[in-house]
Amino acid sequence: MKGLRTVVLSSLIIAFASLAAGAQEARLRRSLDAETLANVTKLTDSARAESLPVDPLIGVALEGAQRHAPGGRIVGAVRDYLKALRGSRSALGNDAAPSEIVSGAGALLSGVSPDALRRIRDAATRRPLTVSLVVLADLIARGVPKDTAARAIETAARANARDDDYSALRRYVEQDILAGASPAAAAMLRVRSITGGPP
Amino acid sequence: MSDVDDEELFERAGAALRSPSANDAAAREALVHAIRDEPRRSPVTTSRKASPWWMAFAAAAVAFVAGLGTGRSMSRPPSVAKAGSGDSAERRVEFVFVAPAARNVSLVGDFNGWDATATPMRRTDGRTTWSVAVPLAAGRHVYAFVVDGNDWVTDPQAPLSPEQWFGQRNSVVVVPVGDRGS
Amino acid sequence: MTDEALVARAVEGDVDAYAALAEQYYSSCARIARRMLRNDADAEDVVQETFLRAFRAIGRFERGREFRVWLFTILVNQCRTAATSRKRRHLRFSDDEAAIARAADERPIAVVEEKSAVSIAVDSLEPLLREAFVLKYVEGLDYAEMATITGAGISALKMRVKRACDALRPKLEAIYHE
Repeated sequence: MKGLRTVVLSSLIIAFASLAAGAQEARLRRSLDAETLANVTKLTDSARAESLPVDPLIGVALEGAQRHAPGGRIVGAVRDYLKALRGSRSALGNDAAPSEIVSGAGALLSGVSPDALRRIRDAATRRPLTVSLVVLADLIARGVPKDTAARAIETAARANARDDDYSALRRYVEQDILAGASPAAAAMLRVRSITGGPP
Repeated sequence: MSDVDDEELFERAGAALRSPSANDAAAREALVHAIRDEPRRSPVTTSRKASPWWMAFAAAAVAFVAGLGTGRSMSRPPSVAKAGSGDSAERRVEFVFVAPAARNVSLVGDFNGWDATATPMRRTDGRTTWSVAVPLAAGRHVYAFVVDGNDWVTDPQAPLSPEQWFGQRNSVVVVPVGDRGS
Repeated sequence: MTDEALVARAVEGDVDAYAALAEQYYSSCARIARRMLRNDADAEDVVQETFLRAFRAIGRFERGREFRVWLFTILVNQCRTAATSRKRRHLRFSDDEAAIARAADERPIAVVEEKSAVSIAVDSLEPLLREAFVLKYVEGLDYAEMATITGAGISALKMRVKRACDALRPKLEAIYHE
């Protein structure tokens, strides 16, 4: 009975996912002019063919449409994002989960090198990377130099940090920066509270 | 040139740059308006010191509801409801935004096509706070709040997105799969 | 009301007290941002963002800290972020800015001319030198305060100021001795 329930649930999840994907694509057709739609579709088709996450690309195109960005800019954004997704999967490996690939793409777009991303993956062994890479991108967005931020996350990963630890790191660094600390110093100091020692 | 003359030279240059600018008044006034329109600071609440925000489960939602009775507005990051039975890859995520001066606020993100009409938020908690709960698939999502129809703002409680495709960052929420803590 | 008193009330949530602080520090923040970003419109945006961020964070401000130093730290970080992350659509507007300022300004022309000329000279410095010069000579901060604000060491800051002054000296001499 449990086996049947799992099958039914899985089918429902797949059906729902297809419905959701269909809805997004319908939105895309409504929101973009013909030329932009054609160019974006070429890119999402490539992503699909390469088994890369497609939803984030559609999301970017829809965001651009809602923000009234010109078609060329939308296509450029989707193209750059696809490139980052490829780079992320190349650095993180083919068995990386879609959300890890997306977060990894964010890190690359923040200026983190593919090598640094690989080091973080290696340091994390089998722990999922999504949250740590989201925090990495956030630290950089708040002014922590990218190499310092990548080193801090790698150090935390090596110390077996959990998602809770990364989220705490992010909050503390944000508070420290707002209280006047230099972003680099804040990141290096706070990572010590996870690792219990110098980075 | 002597050291004294040297120092005087630079002090004089500094003084020249300190002379007031002709066009500060308007900007100053605009700033004061913006400050008064800013959502009121919420007091630091216990929920911040509890479980990290995106791993917070029903306890955070309960704390929020309990806080309603005190009349204090609580700004907090998105909270993810505890998984029910079964293997559903979706979770109900509650978004909260404090904006007492807003006439309307909606949630936009990659889960609703960034459509400002799709997910309006409701006023709660003494009319200072806006909230809405949406089902989200597990994984990483980006979102923003749209205030009064055209002002896109990030969530002050959430991580920033690295991407600024169209000149502005968004906020990030990660919805965990199952009950996995890390 | 003294700064300390205003800050104490702002920390407690008094919006009027914070608005008064903002009025008081607006000019110095605007000065720093204009020199760092070399564009009035961008500077205005960054200054507004700085005051709003400081407003959101003021509940965490520790008594006994100097408000100005804390505020300038946020501002300098915002300027640096804006300078690197914004796509620069234009290189330098110093000459245009000077022309517009002269046209709009009703003060004696000599005052406006001197300020424009000195701005152009300071704007030609590389960013870290410009930052150090402005904090020291325009805002009158000491090296300890500058170190807190910029995150750099005191000897590094002294070196930057020296290099800035060496680069500016001939230009300022030309401005003041002609």
